[in-house]
Amino acid sequence: MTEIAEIGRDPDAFEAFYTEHIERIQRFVARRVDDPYLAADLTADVFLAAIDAAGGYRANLGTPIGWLYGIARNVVSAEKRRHARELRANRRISGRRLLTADDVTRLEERIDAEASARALLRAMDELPPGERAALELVALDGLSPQDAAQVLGIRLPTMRVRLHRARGRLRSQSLHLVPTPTEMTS
Amino acid sequence: MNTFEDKLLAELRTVVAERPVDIRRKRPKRVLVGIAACLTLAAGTAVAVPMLSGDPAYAVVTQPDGSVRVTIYRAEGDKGLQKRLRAAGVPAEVDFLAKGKTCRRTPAGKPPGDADSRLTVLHEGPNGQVTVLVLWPNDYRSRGRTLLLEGEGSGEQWLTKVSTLKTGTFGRCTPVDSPWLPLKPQR
Repeated sequence: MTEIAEIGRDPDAFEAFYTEHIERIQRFVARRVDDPYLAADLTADVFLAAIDAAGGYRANLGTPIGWLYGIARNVVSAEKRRHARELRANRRISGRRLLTADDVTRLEERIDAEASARALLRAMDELPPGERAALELVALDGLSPQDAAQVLGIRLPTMRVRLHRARGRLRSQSLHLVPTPTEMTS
Repeated sequence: MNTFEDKLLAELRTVVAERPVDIRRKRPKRVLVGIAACLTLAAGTAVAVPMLSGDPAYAVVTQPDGSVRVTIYRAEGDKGLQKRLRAAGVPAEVDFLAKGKTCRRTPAGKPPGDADSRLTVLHEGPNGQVTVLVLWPNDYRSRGRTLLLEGEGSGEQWLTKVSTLKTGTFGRCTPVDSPWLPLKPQR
């Protein structure tokens, strides 16, 4: 596994980290946006933010994927907030500039493949924000409850309570989520 | 080197290679504990531990496009940061308070309209131990606004809150009990 602290200063370490996680981050983004150009920009933003924050990573606080998902979640949330315009203005790498027609096609396919996840996210809109955040990380992104708790900065028992309540609410709406393997065994 | 992923990797490798040496060589010196994020109107939060090191607690840089990039590594030196922000053209009130405290101001001032506020907060929240603000001085000087940057913390944990911009008259910070729940250390 890549030493996270190194990715901000060693291009080879960064490449190993990037190769390990690019697929998951692209899927994470595709579950939340349906524009391939925006998805390309956000993917670049997530890794830029990881480069900047790598020096602060501490292994005893959680896994690298939990840490990276926390960053990805912030990047996507920031895009959705009202200062998205300024975020774009300060973007150091424009992901969309790197896209070819084939890339766009592949990104659109990935986005199409996540359509059901986005529909589920919309169905979760009625949940309280804390419960929604907990459920989307575990049920949609496949994080373990422990990693998801790390992403949200809450304790594991709190995470379990939120998951339980969120499922109860969705059940009352006749929506069902399949537990992930990690969730069933943790 | 044909796909988007390959080209992005090439650009990101360049970003890493071109980072200033002092940043690339900076190594963690203490464990960071307790990350939480709370968002208010135009606000971001980050929790970090004060580190026992000679590294600066913050940096204020005026960028070529006129914006001011503020990087806060830990909540220390509030009045020094305030002075740096003012020197960079951003009227600011910066107060880092004891854990469990927050500022009460009388009068409280008014939040600006959402439509024309420009404040970018990056890397806040879980594991984003460094808070980065991108500010535009003209938004403050010409519109009578002040950036309110408030923090609370003690011991191993710090919470910094980037408060909403405010217009109108407001008083100095009087520490009062914070309505925020106390942060508990993560295991």
